[in-house]
This record gives sequence, C-alpha cells and structure tokens, in this order.
Amino acid sequence: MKKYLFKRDTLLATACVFLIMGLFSLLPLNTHLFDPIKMALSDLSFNDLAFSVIKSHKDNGIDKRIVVVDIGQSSRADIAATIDSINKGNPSTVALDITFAGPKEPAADSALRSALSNTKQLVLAEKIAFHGDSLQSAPNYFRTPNATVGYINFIGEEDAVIRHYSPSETTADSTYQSFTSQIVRLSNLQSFEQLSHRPQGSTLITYRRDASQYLTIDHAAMLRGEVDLSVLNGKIVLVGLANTNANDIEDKFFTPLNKKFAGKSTPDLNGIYIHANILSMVMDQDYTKKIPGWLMMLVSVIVVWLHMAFFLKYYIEKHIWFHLVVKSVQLVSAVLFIYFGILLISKAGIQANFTMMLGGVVLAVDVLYFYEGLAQWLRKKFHISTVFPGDHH
Amino acid sequence: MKTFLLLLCLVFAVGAAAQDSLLVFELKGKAYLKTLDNKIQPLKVGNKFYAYHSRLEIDKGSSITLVSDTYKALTFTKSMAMVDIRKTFHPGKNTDVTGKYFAYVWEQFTHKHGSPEADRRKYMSNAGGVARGCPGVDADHLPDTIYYTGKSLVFNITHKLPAGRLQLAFQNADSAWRINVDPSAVFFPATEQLKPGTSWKWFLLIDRQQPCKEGVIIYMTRAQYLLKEKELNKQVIVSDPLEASNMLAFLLEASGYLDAAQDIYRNNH
Repeated sequence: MKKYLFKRDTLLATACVFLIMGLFSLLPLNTHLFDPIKMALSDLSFNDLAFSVIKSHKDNGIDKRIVVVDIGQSSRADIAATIDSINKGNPSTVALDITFAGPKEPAADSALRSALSNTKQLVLAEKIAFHGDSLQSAPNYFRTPNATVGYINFIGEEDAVIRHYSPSETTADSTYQSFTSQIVRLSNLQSFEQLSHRPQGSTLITYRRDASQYLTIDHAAMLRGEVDLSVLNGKIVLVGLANTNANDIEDKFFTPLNKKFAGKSTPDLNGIYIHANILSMVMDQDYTKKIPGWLMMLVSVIVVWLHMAFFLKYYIEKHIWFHLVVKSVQLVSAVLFIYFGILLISKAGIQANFTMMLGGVVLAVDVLYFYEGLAQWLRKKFHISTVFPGDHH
Repeated sequence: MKTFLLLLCLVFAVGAAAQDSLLVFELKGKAYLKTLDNKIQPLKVGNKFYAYHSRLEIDKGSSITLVSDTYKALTFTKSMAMVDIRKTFHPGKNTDVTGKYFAYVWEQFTHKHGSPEADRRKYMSNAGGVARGCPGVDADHLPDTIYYTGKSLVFNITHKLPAGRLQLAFQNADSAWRINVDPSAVFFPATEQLKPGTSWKWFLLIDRQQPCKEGVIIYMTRAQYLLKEKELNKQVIVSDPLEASNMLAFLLEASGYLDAAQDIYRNNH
C-alpha cells in the first residue's frame, strides 16, 4: 500500500472520485428514482443508530425540571380546570402546547380565559408560516396583549424525521421567539441569554430522552385529586397531547428515537416531548456540535486516498482477489465509519456526516476502472507514464 | 323466431337498464328528480330510480347518498344532471398505465430533494402542538347567546375547506340534524324546527370528528325573555344606576343571557 500512496495515479484517481461526486451533486435530476435502497434510506442518518438501536439516551434518567400534563381529548372546560389545578402546585412556568383556533363554547371559553389569566408565567403556542420574507401567524384565540407567545414549528419535510428547529426568527419588523425559547426566557434567563448568543437559524435538536423519561401526568387523574401537586412546585409544566398509544398519531413526529431505524414505520414522539427535549438541551447547554463541512471534506479526501492506494495495490498486483478484498474493505470501512459517528454523537455530542466519505470509498472502485482507461490512453497518446501495466482490465 | 329474438333483446335491454338503477340510501333535507318535461318527483329513502335524462335537484344544505347496483355509495350535495351522476359512478375503467407511469418517472426524475436545514423557512410547516378549535373556519358571527328570541337564526360562517368537510349539527332530546356548510357561504339554517320553547345544542364539525365549536340555543318568545329579565332585575338592590345596570348585566350573563348582558356592558362602558 505504501508503494502506491504517493504515486501520481493514486492522487489523480482520488481527485477523480471527488470530481465525479461533485458532478453528480450538480446534476439537477434525481437519478435515484428506482434505487430502492436510496428510497428507503432517503431520510436516514446513521447517527440515529445511537438512539434507535443502541438506546444511548436511556442512560440519561428523568429530567426532573420538566413535567408534562396530558390533556388527551378533553374539553376546554376540562383544560381550564386542569390549569387551575396546575396553578395550585406552584409551577415556575406553565406552557400550553395547544393552538386554539377560535371561540367554542362561551362558558368554557370564559373559564379557560380566567384560568389562563390566573397563571403567573404562561406561554401560549402559535403556528407560523412564511410567505416570502413575511411571517404570518395563526393567532391563538386566548392570546392577550401581555401574553407570552412562541411558535411551535419545527424544521423538516412533511412526514420526515424532525432533527432541527429554529430558536427565533427575525423579520424586518421584529423578532419572534420559539415556544421553547419563550419558556426558557421565563424560567431560566441565563440559559436564554446563552441561547441568544448562539448562531440563530437551523439548530440541531439533541434528543436525550424519550417520552418515558419525562414525568407525565394524566389530566383526568389530576382532576380526580389523585396526583400530589407538590411534584409541580418550581417545575416547567408543559400542557398538551402526550399519548403513548402507538396507533394514535395525532401530533406525533418521526424522530431519531424511533425504534425502527430505516424503512416504513409510524411516527414515534408527540410534539410536546420534542419541545421537552429542546428545553433539556437549552437548559443543559447540551447543543449538538456539527463538524464543519470543510473539515469533513478534508478527512474524507485523506480516507479515500488511503483506500485508493490500498485498492490500487490489489488492482495491479493481485487482481484476482481485487473484488473480494474491495467488497470486504468497503463493508468493514462502512461499519467503522458508522461506529465513529455513533461514538461522536453519544459520547461527545458531535455530529459528523460520513456520507461523502462512504460515497467516496464506494465510488473508488468504479472510478479506478475509468481512470485506468484514461491513464492507458494518455500513455499511448502523450507517453505519460502510469503505474498501470499493459492493457486495460 | 324473429319475435322470440326481439323479446330476448328487450329482456336483455331491461336487464341492462336495471343494472344501472340507483337507490336512495340516505337523505338529509330534500331532493327531487326533475324530468325533461319539468315534472318534479320528490325523493325518499328507499326510492329506486333509473332516470337517465332527468336532473337531480338538491335543496341548499341538503345531501343525498345514492347506492348503485355494484354497492358503490356516493353522497351528493349539489344539483346535477343524472348523466353526470352516472359518470361519477362509472368513471371509465381504462387506467392509463403508460401515461401514469411516465408521469411518475418524470416527476421523480425532476424532483430534487431539498435540505431542510439549509432552507429552514420553507420547511417550517411542521407544528409540534395539538390544534383545538376549527382551524381554517372563520365563524366570528355565530350566535353568541344561549337564550334566543330572534325570528331567524343566523350562522355566518366562511371557510376554505373543501365541500362537505364542514358541517353544522343541531341536536336535542327529540331530534338531530346536520347540514353541510358550503365554502365561503353565509348560512341561514332552516328555522321551522327551531321553534320557541325548544332548546338545542349546536356543533361545528370538521370531517365528522369531535365538535370544534359548540353552543346552546334555547328558543323563547320575546315576552318570556323580558319576563326573565324583569325577574333578575328584582334581585338587583344597588342604588347607584350604573352599578345596578352592571349588576343586572352580571346576573344576565350568569344566567346565560349573553347577548343582553353584552348590550348592557357595552352601553355602560
């Protein structure tokens, strides 16, 4: 391998790999339309294995700062009574992960408005949408001029895994805070200031806990007086839909915590638990760091170059073993890349994208055949020397 | 022999026509068959008809569900020619395999997957929260009252939902009825059933799910209404006129006379 490491052909073949990958990425057409693997894995990150298979998040225990209250399919009158009960527990902040589209039943609406006005630190939810550069929100019916309101939007394609959110959005007129940013602003100002000083825009969500790792209270049990309300003292209380029924997918999303790593599955986590994970992340300063693109590119070039030197040795000297060895090396490399990715995400909170590296190693074999033809042609035509002997394989 | 063949053809023709008969399976409101010579035949549940050249007339807010001989059931809310209705029951069986296949290939071929994190505002359509109420329905002018004396009950509802998705339902101990609310329409439900002395619960439903808005209407005459107001007024023992007026409004509100209470609050403000 050392023999070929610094050969011009090794370096040029490696450059060819990245050149071809670059050309493919510029192609405006989707060439994977009948690639079943690509179709099945289009929304997949191998880093998800850290949660879905290895379940590294299970080590984290319950986040005692956050309590989730499940409202199920209850009426506004029940929600009002639930909020009154929550207030008796003296929580630090109450946040309703519910959008109310308009009036419903006057008496219940009145009761809910009264319960909300009696809540000391309240955050209401709204959904926003962008039309060009302008931001439009669907107003929460119970919004008051002095109410704290945050948007509950995540970033992601429809029916895709939710990996990112935006802590705040700035338009020409003003700055809008997300639902979780508003909660942190009211309950933990120091964390909010640290969040504000971070680069805004798409922020990776660090998933550290699933639904079972947040204390969840059924509102009906609370109304029946079966819950010791002291558990709410000083806590952030998230009120919303938190069902554990796998067949009920209302307000559920695909997350990296999904038990099924790839292929068809059902959404696994309620929006309220995604907000809870974001809150835990912000309060713990547990942001997932991302390796810069240029660094991953540099590492990918080095790794593909090493692979290319190894492949060349077998290609030229032991061609009969070439395909067997190459396939074995590709498999072992893939396993190791994913292992490093999992180690980085679960131990150091660093997300690395190995797609380019893996793609380069896979493409190297095909490029080698193409490059040999080119090198032989250049030798014949321009007498440029090459490590490839005799005829084209 | 000729006569026999003619009779056989006739039997087949009648049989073929019978295959296309439609059964009135469910009827909410009123629907009619209007023939070419403008004769009107009211339809009832259980009616079976062929009527190739007629027109199905459906009253506003009514709906009719027809079942074909192949047990295909379709609900209609708007008047249509029977020819068009039959087309909806038999929408051509030749699936354009080639066309659909290459349309799919082209769509996939030209569909470039974007990067949500790079273009976040485009991909911020997922909202992690549960929605309660009637999203997309503008129903600000619903009768905001419990006791109601008006001559006709007005529900002013505008929405952008596809036809048939939004319904207004009324229910009391004796009966229940449900009407489709047309998109962007001011809706006046029939008032013949909402007589003084009756009380109703009303609901707005999307896709026949759990009600997203609801209220109570208790119909009473103007005299009954004023009598109740007088009764409540007797409970007011405050001497200051403004305070007395506010107190009455409070008692009216507590008793469900929301409109009257609102009027007084508005005047006192």
